[in-house]
Parts: sequence; C-alpha cells; structure tokens
Amino acid sequence: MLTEMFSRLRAMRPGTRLAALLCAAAVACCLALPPVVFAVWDGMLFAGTHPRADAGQAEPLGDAARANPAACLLYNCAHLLGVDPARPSGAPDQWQARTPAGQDLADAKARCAAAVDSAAALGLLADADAARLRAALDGSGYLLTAQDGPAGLTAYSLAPGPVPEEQPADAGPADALTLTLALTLTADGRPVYFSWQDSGRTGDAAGTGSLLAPALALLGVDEFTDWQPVDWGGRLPGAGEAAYSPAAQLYVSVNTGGGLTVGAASMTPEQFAALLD
Amino acid sequence: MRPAPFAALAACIALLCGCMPHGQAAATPETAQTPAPAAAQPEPSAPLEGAEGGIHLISELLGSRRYEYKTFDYQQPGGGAMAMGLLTVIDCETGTAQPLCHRDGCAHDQPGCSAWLTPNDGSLITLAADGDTLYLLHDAVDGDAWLEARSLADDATRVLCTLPRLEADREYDWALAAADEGTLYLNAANYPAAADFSVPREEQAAVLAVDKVSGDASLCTNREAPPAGSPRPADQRVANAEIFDAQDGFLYLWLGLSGDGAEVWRLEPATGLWSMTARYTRTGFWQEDGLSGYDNRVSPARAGRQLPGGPLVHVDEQAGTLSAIDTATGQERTLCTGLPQAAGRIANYDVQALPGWYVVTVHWLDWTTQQTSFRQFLIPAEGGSPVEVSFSQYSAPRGSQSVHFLDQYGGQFYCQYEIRGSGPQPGIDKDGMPYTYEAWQLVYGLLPVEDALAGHGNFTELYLE
Repeated sequence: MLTEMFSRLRAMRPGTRLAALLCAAAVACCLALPPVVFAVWDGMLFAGTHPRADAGQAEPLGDAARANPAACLLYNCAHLLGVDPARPSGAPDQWQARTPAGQDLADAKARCAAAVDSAAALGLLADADAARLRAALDGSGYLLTAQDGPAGLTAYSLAPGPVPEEQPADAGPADALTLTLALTLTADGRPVYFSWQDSGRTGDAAGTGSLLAPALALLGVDEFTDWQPVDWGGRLPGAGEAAYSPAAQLYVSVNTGGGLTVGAASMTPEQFAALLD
Repeated sequence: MRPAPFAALAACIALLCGCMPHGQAAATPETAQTPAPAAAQPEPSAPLEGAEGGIHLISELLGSRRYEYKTFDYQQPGGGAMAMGLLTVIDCETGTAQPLCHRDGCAHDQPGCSAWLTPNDGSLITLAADGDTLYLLHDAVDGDAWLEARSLADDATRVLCTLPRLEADREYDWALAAADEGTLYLNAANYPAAADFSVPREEQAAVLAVDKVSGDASLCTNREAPPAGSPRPADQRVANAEIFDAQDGFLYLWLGLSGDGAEVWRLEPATGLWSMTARYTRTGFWQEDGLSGYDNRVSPARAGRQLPGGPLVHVDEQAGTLSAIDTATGQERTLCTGLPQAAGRIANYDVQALPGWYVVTVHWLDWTTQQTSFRQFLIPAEGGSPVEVSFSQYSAPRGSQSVHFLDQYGGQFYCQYEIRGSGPQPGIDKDGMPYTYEAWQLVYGLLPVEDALAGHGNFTELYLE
C-alpha cells in the first residue's frame, strides 16, 4: 500500500503533490501536537500555585489530632461536609431518615445501649438513670428512629412512641413517658453527641463533681493534654462545663440541665476566640 | 488548492493555542471589604444645580451616588456584640463603595467613625438624599418616628422633627417621598388607631411638609370628595395612599380603593389644594381558592428598594402588554407587547421602574409542586420590544430568585445579584452547646446595561449586606 501511495504521489503534478503533502502534514500535526501541548500544559499547571477555596478559614489539623478518629471526623464535619452531627435537621439533604425494624432495630438498640453503658461506666449517668434508659430502649413505649448521615454518622432518636390503641390486659399502671434520648454515633459506635433528657426527674444526673473528664473520655478525645476550661459565667447562665483544645481544634461541652448533654464541635482557635467576645 | 491546507493547518494550531491557559487568571474576585481601609475619603457631592429647584421625588440615589444603610454586629474587644448601623456611599461612576465618613485619618473600623450609627431600639431606617443632605427616617417599630438631616459634606447630623405614631386617635405610616428647594414632603397616610371592625378601615391620604432648615412640620390632609362628575362608588373606601410622583409644583398621590377602583389625586403644596385627576378601574377579576386579583390594572410601578414612587403603568396580564400613563395628562402610551400571558392566580407581573428602563418580572407558581418560576424582561422607558434577561441567583434557604434591579445610572444597573453563604460557622447556644450555622450575605453591584441586554453576567461587586 505504501509503495502504491508513493507512486501515485510521484505521478501527480507538482502543484497537486505539494497540496497532498501539506494535507498529510496537517493530519500529522493534528495527531502529534495534542500530546505535546498537553504535556506542556500539565507542566504549567503543576508548577503554579492554586489557592484553596477556604484557605482563610480552616487550619490543618496537627499530627496528634489527625491520628484521633473523633477529632478528625469532627474536623471534616465542620470544614468539609458542613454537617452538624448534633442537628441533622439543619442539613436535611445530607441525612437519610429511616425507622429501623426487625434485625435493624435490634442492632440500633444494641448500639444505643452500648453508648448508654459507656456513659454510665464513666460516671456521666447515675446507675438508676442508665437502667431507666436501658428499659426504655428495650420496652415498647418508646420509638427509635435513625438518620444516616455522611462519614458513617448515624443519629438516633428515642422518643415516646404513639400510644397503642389497646392496652394489654396485664399492663401495669402506665408509666409516664418522660425520657428522650438523642445520640449521634460514628460508624464504630463512638458517640460524638449524647443527649438524654427526662422531663419527669429532678436533681443532678450524677451528683456533684466535674463531668468534663468523663465527657472527654466518652468522646474519645481525652488523650489531648491542652484542654482549657471555658467559663461562660454570667454571659450564659444556663451553660454547663466546657473546654477547648487548640491541638485537637475541639470545643466540648457538658450540660446537666434536665438530664445530660455532651456535645463537641471542631473550630479553629480564631473561631473559638471570636465566640468568646 | 494550495492555500487550503495552509488554512487548515493554521486553524488547527490556532485552536490548540487558544485552548492554552492565558497566564494567571485571578482565582478569587476582589471583594469589597466593609469597613474600607482609611485611605480614601468620599468626596463631598456638589449640590445639584438648577434641575431640582422644583418639586421632585427623592430616593437613595442622588446624582451618581447611592446611599445604603445596613446593620451589623460589632464585637467589642473584651465585651459582647453590639448591633451597629453602617452608612455606605456607592459611587456608580467610579464603581466604588466607601463608608460615609469624612473624618481625617479614620480607618472606619471602630465606633467613633462617622459612618457607624448606633441603632436606637432596633429602629428601621430609610434614607433619601437631596441637595447636600442625607435624610434619615428612623422608625421605631412600636414608637414614634423621627427625621434626621445629615450633611453630606461634614457628616453633621441633627434631628429635624419627631413624627408621632399616634396623633388625635389616628395612626401614621411615615415615608420619605419628595422634596423641593426648602421643604421635605413625607407620605403621611393615616388610619383610625382604634381597631373598629364594625366599619371597614379607611385610610386617609395626607402629606407632611417639613422645613429643611427649621424642622417645622405641617400636615396637609385630603378632606376633599371626588368631583361630582366622577363619584367614588359607595362601597369603596381608601385602602392605601402613597405619593408616587412629583412634578411641576404638584405632588401626585395614588389612592388604592377597596374593590376594583383607584384614584389619582394631586396636591399643590403651595396652596394646600387637593384635586382628583383620574379614576381607574381594574378589570380581569379572578378568584380561586380564597385568593383574588385583577389581571388588567393601573398602578404605580415599583421604584427602588425602600421608597415609594414610580410612574403609573397599565398592565394587562391577559394580553401581555405594558403601557405607561403620563401622570400630568393621563395619556396612555404602549410600552411593549409580547410579554408572556400571566392570567389568573398562578402568575403575575411585577413591574419596576428604573431611570430609563422598566423591569418586568413574570412570576409563575405551580400549584401542584409549589415551585415558583420567573422570567424577567427589560423594556426601555421610551417603549420597545421586551428583552428577556436570564440572570438568577440561588441560595439553599431561598431557592432560585431573579436578580433584583434597583437603580440605573450612567449606563449601568445597580442590582442585588448574588446571595453568598459564609460556609458553616460555629456558634454556642444558651446551654453552652456548640452548633453550626451559615450566615448569608446579599451582594450588590453594577452591571452595564449592554451586558444585561446581552445576557453577560458581568457584575462588579460593590457592597455586601
């Protein structure tokens, strides 16, 4: 085929031959130029600097914090995902609601029970309260719903369920359903938000004493040593105990009003300083 | 034959070269920082010569300058947050925005700057500029209002007069509207303070004239009846009254009546005489599911952001036409035809009058999905074919909205064209618990008219709120 092409080429008039050669050259350029051009282009892109979108806001986590799964996850929630683990309702398009049933329900209850047990073991919940929570989880008066969020988070909510139309014949006096439990667990069952409220009880949840250290242990961030207590004092009279760790970029708060609430959020030292003003 | 391969080769190479990046493109647009750095001071604007000796409408725009007011939280060092107000002057000619402060060496970043106002009791403030003064109407929502005059040359501010909310058993809705050489005219429509549901509420048209120097105020109320030749239908009451035009020594007020009627009255402030100049009737009545409206109606077009005042327009949503009505003569002139039909409850026209242009936004509501959609058209003030513009702005909380055209000067539209989220911000609630929220800012800026007509979103950011 090639010899035939050459002989045809030689047979053409000079003008036509030149034209044919130029066409062939054009085709060859179209085939050969793109890889060269893109290679040069890639070089230019790699060599240049490209500012990150929110360079002004986020500070990278230190090595210690990056090794801590809770700090890392909360950092991602705050700066990358824009998700508040404690409030799925704030970003409805990021959370998928479901009502667990069957085996799914049993698994969900087990996960919540494990979190309640951890809190009790750390001293955040009095044993009696923990027992009531376990009973509520196991019983039939409460409904457990779940919302699946990003990064493997699941937000569980235990609230009084619909009243059954017919009471079983041997039912005792109906206990007032006063408990609510809201907790957000990571994929491996660690709580990043824990809130138990009991409108029917009075008194402190676990007696006097600081609950900050147990709360840090519950969240799994007690390995950091630079926790600075925050005294909201007169500004927020209803606030409980709180602390901030610059190394973990975490703000943790424990509040025993109405029950027990443990919450954490990732924020840069600048953001934390702005909140204090 | 010979040139063709050259041309093809040249075209291929040109195409490839065109795809290459053109040097360093700016990664992020310049944002207008408020407060601005100290370097520049706004030049005092010269009082307008001649043109405005007679009575005229006033607005936030004076010459090439537009005055804006917004509230913001100031974090006091070592203390709490304080709500403050900021006055900003936007120069449409130079495309700049600066705090309205003439103090030497002021960095505009702390209280003490003349542009920073401490809002009293959360009062709402509307602005209008005239001559060399900026007038601020403070409206305390549950209390009296008061009027301040602020010099544009040296920021000196004084209270002109108080405007009572309640006077002689009538409640007043004050609004800045018009001015002439020595007097400010405010819309002073009022209605009975005691809510008597046995009779339909009747609003009374009135104008308050305030002397610009002394602050002396005099109220001129319309107690005239319509002329015998054009009586008001017995079942129609005045539902709202507003000043919409001012020319040739007259103030023109639009009185919307209950039912399908409306009247145009004019007041000659020099003599205090009221007379009715026109009566209009709306047609094309529709009523569905408890809502009702009129498809064929005359009303003042909307003006800028806050102040009333716009020429009369005649809208026919069934035919898709828009006409302008000369206030003084009542003559009607077709502005455009060919607007999309918007009959019935599911759609309506929103007509806005800017200097030199009309903006018609047609809104549709899909009742099955409860989704709203819109189309926006620009029509030159002298009339012509509507030019559809397809700008929109999106934010998670508000969904998709049209760009809001607010004013026009020197061939540029001043508009609010973007809603910008700050990204998730941490906050602390009253129980000390952390939470995340997102702060949203409205972005204002300039858009050249020819870019708007061509659909190029070539906005210049000027002001954030």
